Amino acid sequence: MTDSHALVADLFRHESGRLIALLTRRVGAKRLDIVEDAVQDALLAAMRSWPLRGVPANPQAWLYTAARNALFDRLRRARFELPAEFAAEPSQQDDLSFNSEAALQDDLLNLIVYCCHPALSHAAQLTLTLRLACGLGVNEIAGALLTAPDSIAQRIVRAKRELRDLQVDFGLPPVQELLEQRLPAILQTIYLLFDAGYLSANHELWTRPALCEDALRLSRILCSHPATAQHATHALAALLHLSAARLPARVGADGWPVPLAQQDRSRWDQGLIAAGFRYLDAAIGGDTLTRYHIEAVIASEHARAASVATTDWVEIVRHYDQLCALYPSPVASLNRIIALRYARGAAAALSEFAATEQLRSLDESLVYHATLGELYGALGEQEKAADAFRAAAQATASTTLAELFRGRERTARGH
Amino acid sequence: MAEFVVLLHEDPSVLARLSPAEMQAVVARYGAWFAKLGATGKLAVAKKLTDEGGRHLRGKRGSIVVSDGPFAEAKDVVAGLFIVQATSYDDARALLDDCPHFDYQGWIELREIDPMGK
Repeated sequence: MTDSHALVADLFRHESGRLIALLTRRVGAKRLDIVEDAVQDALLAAMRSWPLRGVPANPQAWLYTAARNALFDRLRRARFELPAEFAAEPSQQDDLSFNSEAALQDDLLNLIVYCCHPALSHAAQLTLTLRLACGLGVNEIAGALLTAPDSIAQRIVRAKRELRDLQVDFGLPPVQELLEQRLPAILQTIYLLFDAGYLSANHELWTRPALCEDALRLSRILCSHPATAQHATHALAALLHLSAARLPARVGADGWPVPLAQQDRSRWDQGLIAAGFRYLDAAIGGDTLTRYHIEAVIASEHARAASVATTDWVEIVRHYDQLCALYPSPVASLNRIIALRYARGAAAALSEFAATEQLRSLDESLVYHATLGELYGALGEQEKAADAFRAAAQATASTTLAELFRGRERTARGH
Repeated sequence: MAEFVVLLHEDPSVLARLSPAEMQAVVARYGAWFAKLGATGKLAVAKKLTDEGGRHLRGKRGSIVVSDGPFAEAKDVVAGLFIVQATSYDDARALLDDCPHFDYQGWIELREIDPMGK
């Protein structure tokens, strides 16, 4: 190897999204498939060349040039015309958009807006965002969304065809449409992206920080872009940053998850917490109160507290009451019950658990049984706790999580 | 010490299907393996071949017919060429045991160079 520039983590993935966004803006969304192929060509060329020749000093510029050339070749072979202003540019040094962070954010925003077109289902929006903006392969998306690879591939093809048939092009829609239709879908997509990385009980890898980091990155782009810097956007960014701050403390030395109550809070990322509070400040004002606002405030209560004992659980329950009233969901109800356990004790939480019919829809999930096991354990009902922990272990595809809950079952049974 | 030609055969469609993250992993793994091989001092030549597949030349009724090399659809393309120094096939093989090539459905052709003029 002539050179040993180390590759930045996720460089290929991020450059894939950046190049797809940049080149599609140049040649139009109707050529998206050709752009994708050209970007794949560039990454393949790098994959073949860099191990022997060494990583170039400016890998982004190398990939840009390779992708641009590949795109020219492919357009020519397909006998499409080259956009004049594009063909005239000799290299990336002259391509202002390549070197400008603001232009990069513009391009990425255009791409996400495209992916989150209201004609698509939420699942299709998320899938297309993962594919195009986050640079995930079909198998990786299938893993993140717990869907068969074939269905993911079909979903991508169908979504792209739908957008092509509607002749959707790159570019921001009028403000009202952007804010009322696109932005909610975009925020939800980023929320789901974070969620897929944060805790995946159905995945062998129970946490995938790269997905969380992508969600943070996209939320920051939306907050700094004048077209999307709304209160709800800041609320989502606050929620994600405050939650991501806990990631370093969530994995123990053995690779096992560490529950909130046992986390070493000195390992929480103070930079992310500070950023989270800044976003939270910017989220307040106006008359919007989204679920992201409420969830961000809950996350901020945790971030503020030095320990579980000094956490203001009564306040947190109040926020969950509000969340369940305005944005009811089984997961919100379950989290409310976990908060109730600390605010009013395990007996009160357990009777609420029994009374909340909505929770039954979660009875095949890990969190449902883990919570039940916690409550029984706190009340000294070890047999029932052990049964619940066993059910939790059976509800996960992650061997790490399964092992964790089998261990808790053994402890509860007293051996 | 004898010399051996190492030809890296691959199925281009396998690599073309990799995701960006997987491709980045290939760069890291091959790069590390290649650096390790270089550090043994037994690597005499290392060449990567261009990706377009080259040309095939064939004689036909007194003239030479040139055709394009394997297309991307081909299942087996030579992508790289090394020459390593080793005492035997086994010795040469040992240098290639942990080559990441095998993990991407590639295979390696190992040929001893006949020392001419001896």
